[in-house]
Amino acid sequence: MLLGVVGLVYVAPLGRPGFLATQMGVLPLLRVLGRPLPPTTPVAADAAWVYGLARGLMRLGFSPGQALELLLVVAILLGGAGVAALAWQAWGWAPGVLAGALFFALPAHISARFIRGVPGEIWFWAVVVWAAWGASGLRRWQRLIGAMLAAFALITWPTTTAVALPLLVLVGGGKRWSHVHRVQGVLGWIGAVLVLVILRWRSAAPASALFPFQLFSAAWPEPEAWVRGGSYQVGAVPLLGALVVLAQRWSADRLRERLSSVELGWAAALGLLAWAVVPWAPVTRAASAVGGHAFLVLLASVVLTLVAAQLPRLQPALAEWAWLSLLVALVAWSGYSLLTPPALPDVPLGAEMASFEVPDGGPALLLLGVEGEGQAVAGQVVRVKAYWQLLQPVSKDYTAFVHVVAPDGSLVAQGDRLLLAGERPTSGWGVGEVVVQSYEIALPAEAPPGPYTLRLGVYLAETLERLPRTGGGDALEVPL
Amino acid sequence: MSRRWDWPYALLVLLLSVPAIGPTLNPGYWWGAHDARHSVYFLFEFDRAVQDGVLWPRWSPDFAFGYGYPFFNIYGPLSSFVGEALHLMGLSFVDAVKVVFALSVLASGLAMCGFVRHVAGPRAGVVAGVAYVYLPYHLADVYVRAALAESVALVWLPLVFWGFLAVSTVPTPGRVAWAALAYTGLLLSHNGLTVQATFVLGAFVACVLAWRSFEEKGWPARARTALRLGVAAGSTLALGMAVGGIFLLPWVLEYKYVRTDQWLAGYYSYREHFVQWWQLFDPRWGFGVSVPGPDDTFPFQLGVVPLLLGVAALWVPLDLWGRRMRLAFVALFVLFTLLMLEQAAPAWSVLGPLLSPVQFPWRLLVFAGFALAFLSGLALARAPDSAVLAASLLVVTASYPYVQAEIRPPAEGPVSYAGLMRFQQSAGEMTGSSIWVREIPTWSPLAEVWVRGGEVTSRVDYGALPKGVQVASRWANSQGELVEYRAEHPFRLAFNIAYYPGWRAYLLDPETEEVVRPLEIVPHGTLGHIRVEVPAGHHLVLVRFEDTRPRRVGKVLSLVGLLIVGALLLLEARNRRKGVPRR
Repeated sequence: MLLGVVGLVYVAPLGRPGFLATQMGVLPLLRVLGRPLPPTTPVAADAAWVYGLARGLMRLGFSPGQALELLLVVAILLGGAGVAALAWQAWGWAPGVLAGALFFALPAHISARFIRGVPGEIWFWAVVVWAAWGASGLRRWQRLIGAMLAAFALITWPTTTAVALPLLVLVGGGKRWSHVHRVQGVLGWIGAVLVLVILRWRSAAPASALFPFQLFSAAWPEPEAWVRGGSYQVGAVPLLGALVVLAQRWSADRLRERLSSVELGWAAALGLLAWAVVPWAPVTRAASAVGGHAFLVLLASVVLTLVAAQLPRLQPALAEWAWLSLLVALVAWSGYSLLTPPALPDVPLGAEMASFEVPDGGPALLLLGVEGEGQAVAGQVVRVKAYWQLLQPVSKDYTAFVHVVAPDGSLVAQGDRLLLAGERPTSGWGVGEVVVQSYEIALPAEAPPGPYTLRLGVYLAETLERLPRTGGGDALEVPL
Repeated sequence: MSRRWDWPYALLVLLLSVPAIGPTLNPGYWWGAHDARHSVYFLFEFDRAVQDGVLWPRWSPDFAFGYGYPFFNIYGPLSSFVGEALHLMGLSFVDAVKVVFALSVLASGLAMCGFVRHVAGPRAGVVAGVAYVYLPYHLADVYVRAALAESVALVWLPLVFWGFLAVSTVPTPGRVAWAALAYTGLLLSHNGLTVQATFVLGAFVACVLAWRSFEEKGWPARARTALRLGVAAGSTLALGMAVGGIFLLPWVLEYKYVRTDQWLAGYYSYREHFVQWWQLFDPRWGFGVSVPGPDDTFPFQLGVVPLLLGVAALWVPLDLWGRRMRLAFVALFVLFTLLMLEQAAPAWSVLGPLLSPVQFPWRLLVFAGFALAFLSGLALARAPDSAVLAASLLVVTASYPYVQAEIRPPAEGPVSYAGLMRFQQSAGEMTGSSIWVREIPTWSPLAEVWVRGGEVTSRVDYGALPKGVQVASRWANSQGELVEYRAEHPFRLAFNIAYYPGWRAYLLDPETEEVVRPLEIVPHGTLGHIRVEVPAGHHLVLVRFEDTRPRRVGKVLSLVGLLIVGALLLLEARNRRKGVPRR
């Protein structure tokens, strides 16, 4: 129940009305609705079954946002429960409760939930930790469940599962691995790393390494700059907890036990973090093949969580209820201030949308929808709201053109404006940021009679060059 | 339930509470907080009456742009009494208010510590006391809401429960006296909160009586015990009400003479201020107000550390009474948390008359937080001192970011009549009216005088005087005025004072200033002002705010109540000396 309340606190932001404003913007909603997405976005490549489940929930009366958020709640709670079960099985109930709480409060996982916002990524962790729990189980039925989940995870997320699952089994395996020579496990992990080194050639896009300070920086985006921020912090509490555990282990004069999950966990975590931060490491490029630096940091955090959770095992006094409650409260508080995700504005997710591509960069700006207000007759003012989302960072400041076109194709009126989010042009937008831009267009009294068409597109003011629309053309046309 | 007070533990609570009052030690004041200006100007008005020799002020002369309002007749005056004492000792109004805030915070921690210590021992008391001080809502009460009366009431809430628990288990004369005084303290601090607290207390005492009587064998013995303890608890409540009679009776009987539509409708309608469940866990802190919908910038969080400690308390092994208290406070927490949520709207419709004075459902955080702090303490009831210290430090650390106040200069200028008028005009607050007022004023000639830097020396409505009448004010203060006039014909003398029961007028002899006869007051106009028919000639007219029958009876009740309390305390002292065993 204690863990359940921690979980409740950490899924509470999903109870806020409106869909989460993440770096994915409305893309997950569009995927639930079955709209075609630019193939370069992570949501387009995300696990299809998650969105299938969401569509199933929609049939029960949920909106797309509610369905996805409900699935996120389940995935987050399953993830925390899975880590708890893994540690509980290995070291007892107190490490289990602590591990679950640590997982809920991991900054890297909170970032995945509420900043990156790819639903499949959250489900990956829920499935993989339960797969690790099953694979480390001492009972046959448990191992069967583990094998099934592992197979499912490998099919759905092959590379990330290939890295994460063996590591979690090795570090959190506990009794399952106590009778297996540890060296085998270490060799297995080294083998997995080698596989991934080979995978680097699969990745065409070079991956830039993180700065080491990013792993330890407490900086967290303010709600108003949420999607422009991001965090790669490992988390002070699991890190310090794991350090204390390591110190405890080395202070004990039991060499025979030293090559254990604690040391293995530390080795793995340091390896993963080095992978993320060392620019000259040959494996750095491969980071993108396994989900990017964020994945490496998150996996290192989970591994450190499993190490830190052993604190009550090494200090039996901390397994007493009062101390354990305090530890759980401390852990829960450590990530509490990060739970401030804003909500997306209400976006009309009509069928009419268009993406515009930057030169050599693919789809960059998504026009999500257009809303008109006012009578579209000559002599009147038409108010138009356009909803934009940035798909990838752009270096230029683009301008939107909004044309009112007569039935004969002649231009009746126009309202071109620099695309601005507040005072920020597109080069300052965050990926996933949904921007609402309003236009007031006065139709001249002498304009030819309607019905009119609204034509919207994007161009660079310096060169007047229009961005091409994915699929052909350079503008979206909607009847006014 | 040791009788010995564990000073080191109490001292620890006091020390750990000091950071919570940090902003009160800063120069300046959080003038932008919701009721910050109210708190200062309530004291300003209270002081006006005290300076005019009124020992129990009821009439606030400068509310409603100088037309006046019986504010302290319907609003618990205890915080103003404490503030006034500090002001008379030389503190400015603002400093006095800040010190009352600080004292209330420190005292609340000690009170909670004492209560929980009585139930589950000193270690639990320490954590509960610290958790109570650092509850996010408690800090918001002080630095975001600047709700002085509620902050002072939070001192008495644990004391009332402590007292009634003691009386309902082992009643002694001393316990009855102290519990009654605690109840009076709560009543005089915040009468609205006292209404809800009394119902909660009633349910709590009923549970205690049931548990206590079922410890006896056989139904007759149980019935006797329940009756004996029930009479003790009931008598304590009655005594508490009697001691507070000076305020309680006029409030109950004369509340109907003030308009409440201003404070219970529109923005103040409870329907617009339910809490959404996720807001109870939302870490965002803000200094804004509660608004309809989810975009409140006021914090409604329960506090993650007290919440988890409260949950942890469910598994702590406790003795029988500890388990019973845990059950009672879990029920209190769950009930009041649920009542704050939108889903509880049907319950509010049913319990409207009882709950609507709460104004905002989130104000029930007082009870939810009280219960949570209690349970937080229980979580550490069997823990070693080191864990208690760690828990207390964690509670302080977790809430420390919320110990902040927006110190700023007063938008309406320094504390003065002009500042008060500007505040009333800009905020539409402190404009309470009696039921004779049909049009709530938005400005007044008196306010105009003050804002222009002048001084109001008379509240006679000179503009309404007929021609040929000579009127001069001999003296005027916050509670009345003596007017001398010469007129050839009878006429109506009007005052810029809103009518409320207690205002009386007399015709006086101009030479001896002795009362010739009373004059009838007729409230007139849309502003419900005082007007008297006066005869022709040279006379004096005295208008004065006096005690009505409920106020006089209330005073007698309080006096009798205090005498009984004194007698009970003497009896307790005698019993202790003689070693009379407790039952």
